[in-house]
Amino acid sequence: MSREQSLVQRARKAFQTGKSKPLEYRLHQLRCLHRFITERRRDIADALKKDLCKSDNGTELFETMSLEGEINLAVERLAEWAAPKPVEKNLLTIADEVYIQPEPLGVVLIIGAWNYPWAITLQPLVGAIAAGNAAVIKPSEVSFHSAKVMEELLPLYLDRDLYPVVTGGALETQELLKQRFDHIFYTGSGSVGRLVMEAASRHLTPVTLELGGKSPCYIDKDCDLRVACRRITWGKFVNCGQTCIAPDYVLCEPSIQSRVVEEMRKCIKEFYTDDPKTFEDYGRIVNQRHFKRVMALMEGNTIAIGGESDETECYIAPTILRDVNVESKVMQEEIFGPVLPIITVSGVDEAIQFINEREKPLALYIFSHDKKLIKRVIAETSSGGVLANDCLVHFTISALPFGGVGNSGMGRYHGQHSFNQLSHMRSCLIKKLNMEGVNSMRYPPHTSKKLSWARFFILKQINVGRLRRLAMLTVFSALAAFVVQRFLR
Amino acid sequence: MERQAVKKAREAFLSGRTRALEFRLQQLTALQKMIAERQTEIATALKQDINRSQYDTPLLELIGLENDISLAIAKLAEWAAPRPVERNLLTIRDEAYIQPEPLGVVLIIGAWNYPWALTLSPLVGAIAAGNAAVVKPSELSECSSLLLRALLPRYLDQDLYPVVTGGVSETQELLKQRFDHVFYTGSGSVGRLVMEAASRHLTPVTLELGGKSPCYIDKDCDLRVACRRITWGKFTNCGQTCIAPDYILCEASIQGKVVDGIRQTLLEFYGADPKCSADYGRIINPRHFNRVMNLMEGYTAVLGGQSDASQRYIAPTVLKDVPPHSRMMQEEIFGPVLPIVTVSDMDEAIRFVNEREKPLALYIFCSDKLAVKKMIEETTSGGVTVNDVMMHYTLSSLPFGGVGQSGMGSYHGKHTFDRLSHMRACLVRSLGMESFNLARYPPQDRQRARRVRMALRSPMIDFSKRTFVWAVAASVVAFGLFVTLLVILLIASGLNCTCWYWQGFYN
Repeated sequence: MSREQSLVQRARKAFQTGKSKPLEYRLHQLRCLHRFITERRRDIADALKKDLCKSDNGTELFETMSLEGEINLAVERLAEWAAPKPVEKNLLTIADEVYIQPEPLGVVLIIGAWNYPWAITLQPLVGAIAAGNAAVIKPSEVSFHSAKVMEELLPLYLDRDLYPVVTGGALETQELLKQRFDHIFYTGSGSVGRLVMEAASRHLTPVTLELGGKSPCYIDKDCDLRVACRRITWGKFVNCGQTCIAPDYVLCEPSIQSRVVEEMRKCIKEFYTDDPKTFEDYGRIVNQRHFKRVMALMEGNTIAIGGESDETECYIAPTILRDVNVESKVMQEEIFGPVLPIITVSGVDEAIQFINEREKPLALYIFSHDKKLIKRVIAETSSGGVLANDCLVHFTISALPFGGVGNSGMGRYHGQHSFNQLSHMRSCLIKKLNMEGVNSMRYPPHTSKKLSWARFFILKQINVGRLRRLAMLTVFSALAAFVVQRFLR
Repeated sequence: MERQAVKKAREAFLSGRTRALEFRLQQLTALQKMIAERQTEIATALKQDINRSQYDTPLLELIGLENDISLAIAKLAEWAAPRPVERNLLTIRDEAYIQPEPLGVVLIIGAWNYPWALTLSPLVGAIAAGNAAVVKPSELSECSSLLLRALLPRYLDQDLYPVVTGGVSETQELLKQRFDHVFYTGSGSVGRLVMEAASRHLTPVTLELGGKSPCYIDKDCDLRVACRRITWGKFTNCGQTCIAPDYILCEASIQGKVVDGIRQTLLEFYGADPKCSADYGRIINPRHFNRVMNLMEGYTAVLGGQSDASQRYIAPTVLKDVPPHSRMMQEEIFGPVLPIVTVSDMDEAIRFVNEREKPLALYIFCSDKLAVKKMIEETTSGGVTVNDVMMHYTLSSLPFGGVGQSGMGSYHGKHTFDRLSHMRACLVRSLGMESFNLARYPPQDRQRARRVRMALRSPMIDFSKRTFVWAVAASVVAFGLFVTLLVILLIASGLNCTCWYWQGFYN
């Protein structure tokens, strides 16, 4: 039996003991996870520095803060999320107990990504723990140091059997994917996403795929370019462009292109100084392979800003390309690097057309003062999420479901959505053995009279909530009338 | 031909005409009309396919469908409206909401046991969500599928909702095309192939599969009523229902009474010879007939057991003391054969259920509320109905679907709409208030990080409009009540209202 097989089996046995079912246990595990993040801040920051040259503050801002927020939310709301939810009844079920009961699925496989190895691998884990599942965690081998730290330290805080960490490369992942899970949560590229879903289909395992794509960023000519460019520059060059929801490319009219470039030049200088290479808050490309890939994308385009690189450090300067040709390589795949192409379009109509000709992106950004224009772009396009007048921030609202559509993914998470995605919502109808007379209309031998009764009972809509409010209102009015009549005459 | 249909559907979808709610309502109304006007033809087709009685068709398929459509029409505006969400302090002045959007072109693969309900109910949700839909009814219910192909284009938009008929090769050809969602009802083996095909295009799927739905009867419950309900659920549509109680678990001491209860009920429902009853169905085709007959091999039925291959008739059959490892207990029966497996008590029943794949439905007949809750908690299944069978299917507010081998995804009512929509997260900020953003820009330091942490906190109160209206209304009412109370108390303590008034006036 392979190592992966035995770990999965152990997780399943641990799940079947039922110890993850009680809410207290889940809360305890969540609090341990929180302790892990606060106590091991140093180890996490060091690992990220080695993997991606992330600064300490960058780490906190982009990885641990959102994670802590998710854990706190889950701890605060778990009782509410896990409680049975009563639903609207009809005439037939008016005397019955009808509710939806969230239940754990079983053993969840979480395959993490390398760009935000902690946030992206552990956020789904928060949902998995909250929902009462066991989870096998497979961090990305590309962010090698973070994976090692996770493998060594996580078992010191969480239950080792229920939440094992499995490190390794493609081979180990393939071995894992042969095993049977109750849900697979994958973050990464579309090509591997296809393989994950195919492997899942053999066991009829549902999947959540958080993929990527080219997230367009449209800048309207009548907007505050200074602020817009600031926000875009920030969103683009965070983590050296290696963010799934980074604005991939800019669409704007030719008349403002130069201004956009100038504003961005100013912002880059302000954020990362004249020499980003020496600046602490500017990251690096994760490895040689991706470095070469991004460098190749720049070929054949006019560099307006940046373009410098240093292969030994996997450093690429914040780069902006102008007048980019739609057919060029940089527009054929997700850039995932600090290179921002600007494509000129004649107006919002052409921008909408441009976006719709391509695969549905994970995020869409629109910069404009005109609310109507924003609403129009939202209505005439589709994307995982859409953010007007800023970048990345929609990720921070846990009430917004975070996920893709089409090639950018399926399923969603964050906050309660993680809990729901990793739970089974079981329909429960509890009737009694009396009132059998009502059922006679459904039994054979059938007659048209019985059928018309059945029609009546099924088709009559009953809004129990409204009835109750009406009843309360009647009682109050009667009381008020009585009071007025008795005391105030 | 399949490729053409999909291409036309996609072009029709891209034209944008399904976006308008009026269009969707119009299509739903037309579908409603079709079902109302063509009841007789539908009933005739079903009689030819599966010997469905003229009353069972509306009862089991059409009324539920009508209900679905009326609900969708009544609630569409509410379902399709943007859904505001709770914000954090950073975004407190922004518009944050979830916008339901159409996915695109949905493929709906129907089943043969309830060819109208199971094919058209997902279609209702697809239309309501603003999608185009390619409808592929099952070729096993041939008359229904041909009728659907003839009727649907006469009522609905022909390009947006084409019907594609055919067998395995046509379905395979369809599955090679790219869709935005594939909705499949049928068996687990084909479900795997559907999901595998969908994975090539990264298409999400809903799989409504099956399994062996256990039915546990507690010894201390009203057996007469329990057996009645179980008999109805099992032998309706000749046992060919995905949520039919597949087998019974009960203690040996009541097995005899259970058999008697079923025997009595069968007499009442179908008479002495079910073959002559207009209300008793037939097996869909010779292949399934042989399959079910083979499952019964080697067993002596305690009730029924007769069959007639020429009519694909199998009598309502009950088998007792069935061993847990027999062939009959290895696959979903999907026929009018009801095995009884004896267990020593509820705990053994729970273990029995948990040792097997998660079923689509679980039935528990028991009068003890605590025991019922225990069984629900210690097992899992797509859905559960206590003290009856199948009824959780009829309530559209309950999500209907499986878990594990019994399927993924759920539908009915609003759940179908949500399942076949993309819930797009929308955040609309303004270009002002840039000072609040300063903390997140580099160069970073601890103080800035702390400020960002504060901004990401959630306010304790919900800032939605609805809550605000309620808060104001509640305050007004509370104030009014308070004033009334004061007045009552003052009057009750002896102060005469008129006296007051006059005094004030003349002073």
